Amino acid sequence: MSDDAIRLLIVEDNPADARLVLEMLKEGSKTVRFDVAMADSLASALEHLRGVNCNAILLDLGLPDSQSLDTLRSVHSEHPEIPIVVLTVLDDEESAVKALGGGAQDYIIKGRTESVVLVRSIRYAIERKRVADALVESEKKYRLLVDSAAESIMVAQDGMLRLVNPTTVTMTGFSEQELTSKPFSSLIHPDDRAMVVERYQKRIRGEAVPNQYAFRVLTKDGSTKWVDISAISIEWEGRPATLNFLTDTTERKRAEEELRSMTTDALESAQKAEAYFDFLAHDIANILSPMIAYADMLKVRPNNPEQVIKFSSKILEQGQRASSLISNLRRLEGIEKTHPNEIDTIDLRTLFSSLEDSIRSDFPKKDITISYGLQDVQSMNVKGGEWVENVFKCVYDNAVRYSTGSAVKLEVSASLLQQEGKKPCWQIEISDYGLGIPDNVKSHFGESINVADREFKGVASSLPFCCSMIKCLGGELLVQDRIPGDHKQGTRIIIRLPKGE
Amino acid sequence: MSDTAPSIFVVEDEKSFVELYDEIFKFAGFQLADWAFSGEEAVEKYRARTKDPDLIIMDHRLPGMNGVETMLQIIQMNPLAKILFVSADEHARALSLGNGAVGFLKKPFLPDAFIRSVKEGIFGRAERGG
Repeated sequence: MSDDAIRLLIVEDNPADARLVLEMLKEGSKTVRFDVAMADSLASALEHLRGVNCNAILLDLGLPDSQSLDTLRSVHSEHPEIPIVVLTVLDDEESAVKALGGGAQDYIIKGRTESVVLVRSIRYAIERKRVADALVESEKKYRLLVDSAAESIMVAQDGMLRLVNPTTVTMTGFSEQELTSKPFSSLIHPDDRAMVVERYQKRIRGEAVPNQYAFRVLTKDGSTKWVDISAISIEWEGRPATLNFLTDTTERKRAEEELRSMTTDALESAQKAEAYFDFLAHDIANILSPMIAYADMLKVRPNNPEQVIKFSSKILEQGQRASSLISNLRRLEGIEKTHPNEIDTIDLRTLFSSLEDSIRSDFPKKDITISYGLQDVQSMNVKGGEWVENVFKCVYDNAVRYSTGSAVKLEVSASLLQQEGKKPCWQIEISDYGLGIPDNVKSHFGESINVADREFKGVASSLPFCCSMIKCLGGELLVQDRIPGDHKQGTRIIIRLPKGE
Repeated sequence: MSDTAPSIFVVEDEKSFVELYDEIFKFAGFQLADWAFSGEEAVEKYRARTKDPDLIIMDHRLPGMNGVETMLQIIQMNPLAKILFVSADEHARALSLGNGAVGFLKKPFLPDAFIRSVKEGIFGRAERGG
């Protein structure tokens, strides 16, 4: 700067004062050269400034066409980039002081200022203005950074937010005024509030706390958002504060949760499908085995009429089992999809007598005795009557199949269960004196058909299958020891079905 | 059926298999000594035996104890007991053979293969086809 002349505009209507100033400049500028222009009114000053680059203005506030601070305002508003030093008289120092707040860099009192001070004042004014402009420019850049940041940025001090950026406003739904006028703790989800406030206070005190963590904020519309915070302690306007960057992770968390639940569902379906497949493969192998063997024996010895009849009826029997297996699977699929709502009335005597007939013909070598305790229950009204009858057939079949010896004893009872606070349900108990079911196997019931339990015979005729059916109908199937604690004394199956309305 | 016909004890919870085995035994000259529906019943019946069967045919998937567990109990009573596994569970093959079974036949099977397995089980592989 010292090499170049300072282009200075002196705005002064009093020729004597103007001359004095010129003299002082000459006197005070041993190292600085001034390139001076003169104006004696506001109009001529503005006119001059329009055409010429100017480094500084010496401005008298009292001009023929403008007075006092209006003069400063007019010049400064049109040329905010040019530093101004106000020329004033002793009895108007008050206006000069006000001028400093209105954009002037300095003031000097005419006739009371040494020439060296005048020159220094002009040079300081130029330098101060340059620094101030640079600061404004730098602040603008930072402000732009803060305002356009995708993260929410906030400064917290004394439990309040001192600065928030537009993203904070968008994220919370609160206006800047709302955000900065109440304690920030009110923006935090009640479950996280104590933790966040405690960490803030410790951070302010300089204690070690995590800089990054997650918590929930409350938005204006009452919803909750998850945020990741990154916080540091800073000094804000001379006092301790925290600078906080918040990222809204609500959407990310929701997507993660969705993905997790989809994966779990897919895994469960796959496991279920595998269990089904395992049961099915085993069942089909068991059905096919005798079919293939009998057919092969017929092929080798086709001439024995007695055997032809016997073996072909065996093949037929197995074929019927396969077909019943498929219809059971279809039933299970159907019941899972349709959730039947129609109420059927099942006449118990008819049902039990048909079950007895079928079980006696299936197990001709067994001597089957069944005792009934039906009390006054003649019939029951339940959802999905056909499925219910099928379940009873499975339970009867199991009870007889797994009874030791040729004499089979079953006890069947029915009642209407009315427990307080619960809807009435039909309860049917079927007890056998068979092999019983060990506790570790019993524990698998109630988990629907998803029993990856290789101890069990197939889907089509087994208890897990029945469990699934009854569950789909809103009821439950319990497997207990006939004599509690001693599974070898036989099994008691309890079926509870909601009473149809 | 002569007294010298090999006697076979069947452990199988599927009635249709027991009936099938009985038919094939008649055809091949074997004798169904006895049969049990479960591992527990099999152990009890084996303990009460008056004569060792020539072979035990064992299913794997049974109510209660499974076939391999049942076999281990029987072998404890008689280390020379010959046990042939007949099962639809492929995974039971290694488990049964590794624990002392003389053979494993996968269901479904043809009667010829069954008879061959039974003979091998009783007489050993050297006399196969003899």
